[in-house]
Amino acid sequence: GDLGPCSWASKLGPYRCDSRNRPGAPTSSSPKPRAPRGTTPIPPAGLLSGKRRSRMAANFWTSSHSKQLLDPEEVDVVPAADRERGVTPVEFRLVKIHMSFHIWRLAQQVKVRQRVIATAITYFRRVYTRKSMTEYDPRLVAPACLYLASKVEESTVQARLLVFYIKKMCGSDDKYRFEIKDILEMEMKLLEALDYYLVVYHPYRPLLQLLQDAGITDLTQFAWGLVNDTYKMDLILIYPPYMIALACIYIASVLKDKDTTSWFEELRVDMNIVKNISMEILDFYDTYKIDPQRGLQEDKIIPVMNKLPSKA
Amino acid sequence: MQRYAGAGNSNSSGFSGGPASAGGRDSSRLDVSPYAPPNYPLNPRRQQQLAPYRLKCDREPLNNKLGPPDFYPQTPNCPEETLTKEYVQSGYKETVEGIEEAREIVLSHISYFCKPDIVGKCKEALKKRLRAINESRAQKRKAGQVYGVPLSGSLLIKPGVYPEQRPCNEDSRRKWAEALAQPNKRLRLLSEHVPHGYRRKSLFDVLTRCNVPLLRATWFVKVTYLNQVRPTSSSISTGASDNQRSNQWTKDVVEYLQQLLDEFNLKEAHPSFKEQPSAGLISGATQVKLKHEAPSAGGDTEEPLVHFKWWYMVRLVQWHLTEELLVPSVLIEWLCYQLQERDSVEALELLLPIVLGLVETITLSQTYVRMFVEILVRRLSDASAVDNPKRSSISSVIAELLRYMVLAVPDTFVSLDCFPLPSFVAPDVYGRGALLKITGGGEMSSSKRRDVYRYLSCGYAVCSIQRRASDLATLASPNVHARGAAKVVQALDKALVTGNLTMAYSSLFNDLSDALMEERWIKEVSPCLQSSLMWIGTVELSLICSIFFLCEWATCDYRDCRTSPSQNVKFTGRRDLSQIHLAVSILKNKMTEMNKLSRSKSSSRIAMNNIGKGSSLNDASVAATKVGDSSGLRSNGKNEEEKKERKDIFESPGPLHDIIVCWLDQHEVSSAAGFKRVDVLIIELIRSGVFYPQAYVRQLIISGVTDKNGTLLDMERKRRHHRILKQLPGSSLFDILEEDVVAEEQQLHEVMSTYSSERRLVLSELSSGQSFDANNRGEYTSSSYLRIPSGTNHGGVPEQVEDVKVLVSSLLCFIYPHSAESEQNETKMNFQGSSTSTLTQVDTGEAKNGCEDCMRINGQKLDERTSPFFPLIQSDEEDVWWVRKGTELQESFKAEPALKSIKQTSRGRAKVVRKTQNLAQLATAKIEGSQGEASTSHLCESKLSCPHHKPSTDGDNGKDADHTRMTNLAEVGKSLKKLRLLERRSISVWLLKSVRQLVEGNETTACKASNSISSFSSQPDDKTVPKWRLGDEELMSILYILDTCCDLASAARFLVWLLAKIRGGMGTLGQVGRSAAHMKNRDNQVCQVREHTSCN
Repeated sequence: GDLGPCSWASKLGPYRCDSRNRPGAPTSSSPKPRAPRGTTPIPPAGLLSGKRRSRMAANFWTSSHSKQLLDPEEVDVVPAADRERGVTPVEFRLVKIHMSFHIWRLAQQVKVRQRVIATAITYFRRVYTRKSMTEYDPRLVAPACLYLASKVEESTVQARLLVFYIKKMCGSDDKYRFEIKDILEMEMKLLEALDYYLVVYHPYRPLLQLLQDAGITDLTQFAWGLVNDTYKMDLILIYPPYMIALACIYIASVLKDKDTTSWFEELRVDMNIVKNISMEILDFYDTYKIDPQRGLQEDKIIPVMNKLPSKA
Repeated sequence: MQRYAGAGNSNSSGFSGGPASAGGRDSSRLDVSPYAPPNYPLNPRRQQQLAPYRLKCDREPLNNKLGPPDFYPQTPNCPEETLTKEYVQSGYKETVEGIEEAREIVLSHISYFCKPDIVGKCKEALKKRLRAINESRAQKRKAGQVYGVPLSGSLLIKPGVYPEQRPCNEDSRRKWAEALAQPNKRLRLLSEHVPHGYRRKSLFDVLTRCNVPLLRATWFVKVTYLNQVRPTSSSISTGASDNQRSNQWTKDVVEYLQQLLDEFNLKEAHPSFKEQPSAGLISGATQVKLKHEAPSAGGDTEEPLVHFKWWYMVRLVQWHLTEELLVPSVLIEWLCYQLQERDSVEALELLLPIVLGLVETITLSQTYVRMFVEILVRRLSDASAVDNPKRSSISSVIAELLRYMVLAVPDTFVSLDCFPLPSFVAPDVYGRGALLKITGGGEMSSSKRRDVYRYLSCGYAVCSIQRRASDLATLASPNVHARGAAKVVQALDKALVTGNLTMAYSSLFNDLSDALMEERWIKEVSPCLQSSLMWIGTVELSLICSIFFLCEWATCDYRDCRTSPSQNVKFTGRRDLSQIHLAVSILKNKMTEMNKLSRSKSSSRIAMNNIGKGSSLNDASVAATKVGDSSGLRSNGKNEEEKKERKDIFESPGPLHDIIVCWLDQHEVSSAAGFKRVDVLIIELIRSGVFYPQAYVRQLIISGVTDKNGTLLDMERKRRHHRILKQLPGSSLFDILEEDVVAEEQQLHEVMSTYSSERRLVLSELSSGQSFDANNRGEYTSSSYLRIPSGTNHGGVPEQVEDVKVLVSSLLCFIYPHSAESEQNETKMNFQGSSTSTLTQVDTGEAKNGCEDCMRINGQKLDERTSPFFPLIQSDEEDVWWVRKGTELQESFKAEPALKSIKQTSRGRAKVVRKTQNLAQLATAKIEGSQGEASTSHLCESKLSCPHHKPSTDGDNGKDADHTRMTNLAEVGKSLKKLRLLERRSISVWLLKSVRQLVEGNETTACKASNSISSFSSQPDDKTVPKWRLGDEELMSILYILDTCCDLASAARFLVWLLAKIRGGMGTLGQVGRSAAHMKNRDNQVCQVREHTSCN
């Protein structure tokens, strides 16, 4: 009486229900402590330097990251202290874009992997959903985030190296110059602001997996670039990583004219959300005509930055 | 305590649970498990290990292939958990395929999207794509397979996945059922009001009454049972609840079938049933039939016939079996029970269609097959007993069923004792006239012919099943030891130890009887070769098999079967080849026996004489020239007409030869040792006259094996023959055949010449177009030789052999005629004048007659054919002569190269001479250095020299340095090892022959000179009759050489012969010389002598 996969419920045809569910909705409401950092024992420092977490077993849905996902509206709220200083939501976004570039440029100097940048920017953006730029100077928060992210992502960068490169990059602008102790101090504040939730899930891993499954690995570079660009936005705070990855694949496949219709239609995913994310990404490109190397135009950003207090 | 228990258990299991070893306390444990693993008590503890941590995720998978999104469970081969050398040195680094590490940061498309209109266009394209996706999804959703995943397990828990049943009144329920039966009513609408209350019998009743189409009926059944056995949330897994439903459904089906059957029984006398013709038993026919029946049954809504209900159920069951909704085992067991219980043909008729539907499942289980075959065979004999059209149709179905099972699972039938089946199930293909009966029908249609073929093939299957069964029975029977093979091996091994061949002989030819093995074995021989062998058809398969077996046993190099104590005695580290000698003597015996038989049958064949047969080893008077035992096919050439003789010698000497050729054709050798054994076997067989290489070559040519260039197998065969043939160069073969007096010498020369050219031809053909070893010795295959058919070498004794002979002669201080070539020329001419041989001057003369003149001069009456050497003795007073002769010789050496170029002899000859020269010089030098030292250990300081020719090496005395001798001996050994086995054999033959002649020559002189001191070292009473002494050193060297030549058998014979000499000498001469005593002593300690040699 050994039956194979039983067919009792097959061919019932019309009675299948469409069991889509809203992506991003947390599946379990019970609050859990920090997400497990995987089960891999950490080898002695220096033996395996960094970048290990990217391949570890992990479950996003039980992570703090998943539980801290926000609605778009929540992300755009300008903290009261900044509002008092006359910072508009648009300007608030501009600062974040500008500082994302800052982190990116700094990271390029100290040579870390992309995931460190991504984590740093995520920290940065997450901090300002809770704290004001008035209270936490973004010019200091940015390098501190990179410093912290480099630790979390296991490719530590020395603080003095950061200080050195900041001086080199923004030698003329005193407002960006900080000492090592400033960064170390800010690191502590950051930890507190982040509520010590440090593990971030990025779209890169699902991106590769999904591209593989769709059989369009030739789009890897293009889609990767799109994912990189999403960090100029707050998408990482709003959507689960795989949705961002899907949106990037969606854009890439449409732009590169790959027929992924049948692949997407088989996915148990609300394509409207994917489309919306894609539109958001395209809107970003459309709205901010950014210099790919130097970031926002100075005449746009400098007045905004001037609204914020510089270091005492 | 735990530990002790473990130890105790291990002990008791070690002593196979003997109660004596167990104390009183342990006795209770002993009977529990004396065979338990030693650490049994520890097992529970081990099982309590922590379950490995598993990441869980209750999200749905993204699609069929991908798991849940953003979820990465542990994998067994996590790259960062595996430390590779690279990781240790430079750390783990994740790489992204398709992106360089440096580029992963810089990648950005901000600039790309800065171009005008790009974003707008892209947005449009995105929306378009989305519409396409959504449309396609909508279509699929309509078709009910949005995700293409069957609903199962947790998916079923969700509400609305399958239609719910609703309570409703009787009337609407009936209406609903009628609607269900109508194909035009859509299931989607019906699903909204699936009525409650149709369960078990009522469900079947409604289905049969309305004759609901099977597809819709199945749908209804599924809905009903999904509602009945509700999927529970988590506790029960998918499979479990599915199984539960299947079990429930099967139980209900069986119950209902049972009810119907019972009804049939009650209505047995009912006319309506009786009228039914035998409804088609094969399902296809059933369905066709039911189409006719359905309307009438449908019209009679009140009470459909039981018969109709039954066939509806049969169809439903068959349908649901293919959909795997039913549990086959339950049905099968029920069927089996019914078939056993109900004897009536009618019941059989009803049940058989279900059996047909289940037959594939039945064949999967040996138990079921056993059960059903038993029942079916019984019912078949019952049914065929009565002549009745219905019965005949039933029995044909049963026969078909049985045939199917026989062909589907023949293995299962091996263990069933159901044969012979009735002849109309399967023919007895070996029975007389069975085929005639089948094919005798004359013309038949193609379909019928197909039936006949199937019928026949079933017969063959049955036949092989029976054969297999009987094979197994024989194997299992304790009386037969693995078909006698083990017994034969035992007997052979025993014979190896005891030396008694009788048992082994009779065992080999009587106990080995395995028709299967025989057939298989002979099939491995290439058919073209087989057909070209004249004897192979006349011998029985069992004889072939026995001889194959013997050869395999002899050449098998991975079994060490000896148990004799001498096993530990190592001589020269050589492999033990006694098995081969044993095999050869058995074959020789067999040949004698067969010859006797054939002679008694016809006396017209050439007379065989077994001269050597009776030669006992002690009999010194037996023809002194014969070393070997010359039994078997020896024809005394002088008595026969030469032509006939020559023809005969190229023919296969007898069945044994042909069998061995066959064996060579199929024998696979895997190791070098194996090759050596085969070589030795072949050579021994040649020497004993069982195997004729010249006939073998002919057979290869005739069979066309050389031309076959097809399969890999053919190539392999060619390779085998090539290898064997390469080991049998003509020249050395000549020596061996000559020594064994296979034919008259003159004739032998011609034979060998023909053989050589034929061999070259075959070799070149065998190797043509093949990658293997295009022959390392060019002279055998090179085309230049092929152009001269009777070229210089059967013949032109290969230089290496000559080299070695010269070396040996110089070592043993007797002369080898080559060195005195110039003087031989005249003799040669004489010889040639008298002979019609096609051979060239060089080989004939030098090999055979080189010393004739010497002999004449010496006045010795040695046999002309077999005395190529001279005993040369040099006594002290001949010093002067030696010096004189020596210089003379030097001169002749100097003249040599010139001679050579004139005669166009090969380059090697010059080398030989040079070597000899070197040896001579070396020896002279040594002698000078060690003048005057007398070795006390050497009593027989034998020297040899020739009064006319060259005194080869040693100067004047025996102390001429052991050292020199050892160097020479080592050199001899080295060069011997470079030779092929047959060549080595030719050397050993030559050596022994020469030594015998020398010794016997001495003897003759000794007899003449009655006052000699000893028979071996008799003083020359005349300066012209010098003597050669067989001394300690010489004997040791001879034995060493023989050993290196793998010719221990000859060595043993030689020693025995020597012993006889000594005894004879003592007897006739009455003079007990010290040397004789010494010889005797030495004979008893052959090993010591040899060890002595090798140690130095």
